[in-house]
Amino acid sequence: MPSHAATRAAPVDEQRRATELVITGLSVSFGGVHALSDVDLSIAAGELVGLIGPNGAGKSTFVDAVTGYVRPTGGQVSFDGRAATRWSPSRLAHAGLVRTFQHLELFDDLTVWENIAIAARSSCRGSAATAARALDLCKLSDIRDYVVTQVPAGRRRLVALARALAAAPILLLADEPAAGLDSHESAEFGTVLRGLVDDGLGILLIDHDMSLVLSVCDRLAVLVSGAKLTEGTPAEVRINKAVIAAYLGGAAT
Amino acid sequence: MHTTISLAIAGLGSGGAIALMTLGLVVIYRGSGVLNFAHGGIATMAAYVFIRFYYDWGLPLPVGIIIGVVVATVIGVVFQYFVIRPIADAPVLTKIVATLGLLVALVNLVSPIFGNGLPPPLQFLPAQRIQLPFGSPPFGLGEDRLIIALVAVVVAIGLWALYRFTRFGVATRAATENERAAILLGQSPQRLAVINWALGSALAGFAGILLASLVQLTPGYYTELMIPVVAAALVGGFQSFSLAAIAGLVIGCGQAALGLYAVSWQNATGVPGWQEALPFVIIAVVLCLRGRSIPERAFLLNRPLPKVPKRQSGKTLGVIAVAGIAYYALVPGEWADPMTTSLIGAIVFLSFVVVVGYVGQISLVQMGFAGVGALTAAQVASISGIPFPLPLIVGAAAAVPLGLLIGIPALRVRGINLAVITLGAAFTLEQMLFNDPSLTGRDTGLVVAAPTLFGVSLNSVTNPRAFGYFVLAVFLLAAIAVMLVRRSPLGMRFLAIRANERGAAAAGISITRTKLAAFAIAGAIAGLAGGLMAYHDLNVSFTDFTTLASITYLSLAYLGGITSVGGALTAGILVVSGGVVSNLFGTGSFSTTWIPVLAGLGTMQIVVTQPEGLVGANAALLRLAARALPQWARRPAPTTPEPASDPTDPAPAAVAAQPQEANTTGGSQHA
Repeated sequence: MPSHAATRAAPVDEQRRATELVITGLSVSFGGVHALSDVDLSIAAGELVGLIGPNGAGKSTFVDAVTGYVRPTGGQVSFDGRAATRWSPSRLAHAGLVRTFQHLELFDDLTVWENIAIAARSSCRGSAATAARALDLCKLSDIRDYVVTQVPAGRRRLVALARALAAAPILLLADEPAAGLDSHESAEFGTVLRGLVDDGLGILLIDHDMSLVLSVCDRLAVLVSGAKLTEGTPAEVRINKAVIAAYLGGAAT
Repeated sequence: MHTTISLAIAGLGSGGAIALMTLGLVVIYRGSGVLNFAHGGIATMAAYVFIRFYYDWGLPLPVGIIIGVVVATVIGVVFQYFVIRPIADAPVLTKIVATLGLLVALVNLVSPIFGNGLPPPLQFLPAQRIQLPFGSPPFGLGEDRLIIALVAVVVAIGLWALYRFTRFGVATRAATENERAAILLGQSPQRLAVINWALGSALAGFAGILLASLVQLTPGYYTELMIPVVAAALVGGFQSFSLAAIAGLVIGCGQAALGLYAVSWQNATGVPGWQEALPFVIIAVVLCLRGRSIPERAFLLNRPLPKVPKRQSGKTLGVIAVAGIAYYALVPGEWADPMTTSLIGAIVFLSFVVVVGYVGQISLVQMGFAGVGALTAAQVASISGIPFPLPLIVGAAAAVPLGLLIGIPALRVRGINLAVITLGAAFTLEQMLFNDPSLTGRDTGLVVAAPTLFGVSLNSVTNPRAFGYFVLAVFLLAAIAVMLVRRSPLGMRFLAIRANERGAAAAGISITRTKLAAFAIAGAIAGLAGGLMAYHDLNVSFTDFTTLASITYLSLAYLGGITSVGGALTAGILVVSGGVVSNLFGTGSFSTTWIPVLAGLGTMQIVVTQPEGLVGANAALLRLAARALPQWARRPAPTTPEPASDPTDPAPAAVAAQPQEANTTGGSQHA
């Protein structure tokens, strides 16, 4: 990806550095059940933050609430200095906050390239160049004209990532982008993410693969039962007793 | 006040029938997740069968009722087994279209089987008036009405107990949540679905028979009754039997009680139809408030929506244009008009291609748009006297705001609920606009002056060829527009939303603007077709723009091919009443009754076996044929396809790189 970094225009970098997603006191409840209570988190451009937690901890709900898919019952989201609570998903995408989905939500009856091109074109930040770059970066050139349903499951995750990158995000909220990859693929994937972040993209990475999250993230937040248990560097989180008790257990290593 | 209350009490009869039908509808929905629009058709068939056996042939009342109910049950079971089961994992749209196909077939079967005459008023239930112990003077209630309402209440309690306490009921409830759970309970989901369909259809038949004692039966009566029925089911969330029954009774009584006010509102506002339309308006508002602007995480569907052909080439249009001109130039004069009728129908189908085919939104109101186009064009022409093609354009433009208005619910409401809302909108237009004698001359029709263009008479009667050329030109323009939309960035957004709304929103697509654009375009095209119908008929009868017409047209559009221009044209030529194929069989009973029946049956067949419609089936055959040709006989693939439609398109290379497939020979047909 060196060429990737070299070709990026300088002004974009400037904007990216200044941009920050600040979430304060975010709460979501579904009919009396608190799926998310009072979560604070902030992610800046050029930073890779991990969000981990056991199944049902509210990770996806968190992303849904930030990106306008679920209506938060409390709290604020600010993006790029602007109050962005309850913005529609498309408005956020235009502003540069893009997400991927655990269940991918691809355009199944369109081709890989159409999936990517639509995103590049629908977002005011994307362009033909960002689409082509996303295709390259996710190594999808060989299957660009395949209909998504013909693409093997593992590579569909990369299509989803490419679709998000094609919209030229400032911040990317990636919901389990590495699920289903083996340890080698996962490590490679970590390198790709790290490269993107070094180029100035901010990423919130939600994943179950602890070795991936611990190795690539700058900072980790741990979500348990809808509340933030702790936040810190991977080294701190790894030895946090509460985290080990609540989540990592024996599976950590 | 006294009058209002006694009217409401009299409404217990139709309320009871609505409640009974609703209970059957809820049973079917709970058992298979299908909103059965053919419910009214099943009720109709049962009622007519009952009349044949009981009244015509003099069998005892219970025997007549049993035979009617059995016929309803058999229809439901056969339909479930042969149509619904194979498409169990298909999108909601597909299932709805299947039930619409059954509805079209059943409603049109009535006249060939039972004749065209209206059935006699039956009054087979005892109709003594009972004095109620309250009111002064005491309120009265017909025994027949009391019986129907009581039957509804008893059935509701019975169903509640059945689903609560029996193994079958518990398994059905489990299967609604999760099919595997039902299997774990030792019940086959298929068997549960069949039993629920049988039960629900039997209830539809029973309700249809009972109500025939109160009302004058017509083939379309129970189809219109579906609007309050669906409303009642919605109140119970398609789950609760008690709420559904109560809502059915309340709606029946409420509509009856509204009768008096409706007359005074009609006098005050000059608009008829309040009684019929008001329940729907309330429902539309409730649905919109309850709806979500973004769908929740969906479950997996294994059968996709029909494919949208990638490139509908300009060559196809050229072939259509040449063939059309040759047709009008060569065929005898009396064959010109059927082609014109087919082409106007094809323009209506084009409007479905945009909103249903491209965006995947269910619209049952397209003929309503056409009616507004016809009404506007006719009125504008006679009032303002602006020269000929302009009223057509005004008519098309008038349907645009209406399209936007109906697109608004589509922003928050999807699937079966959207079907309900658009159906209700069609019904409202019919009741409040098209039934208004001062606007549409309901019984006599609205006379339109025969058009002339550049001094040439385009009178469809005296100069059918000239009018035909004009309609051909309009069809081609509309077809070009629909094809260009498919290739434009807007078209890509349409397909993205059809494929996955959540993903589309994440990719920065504004769901609001895109869906509204689709409804506006579809409205304009349908309005244009309506204007052409006005100039074709010269005396516009607004009975052509009914709710049932909209339903029939969606079913026919699916039959031809919902996703392509070629599909629209195929449907126009094959199945439009009065069109080319229908004219082949003359004006006899075959073309007026059996073609719609066959079309309904064909729709059911098509959704199961060939989602791309007849045109898709055709193209598949041609591809096979092309593969069978020896290599040397094939034409070389065209090296420069279409001129790139849009220079800013980031994907022209992708389009050009599409495998040309073996359809170089069949490509011209596969529009």
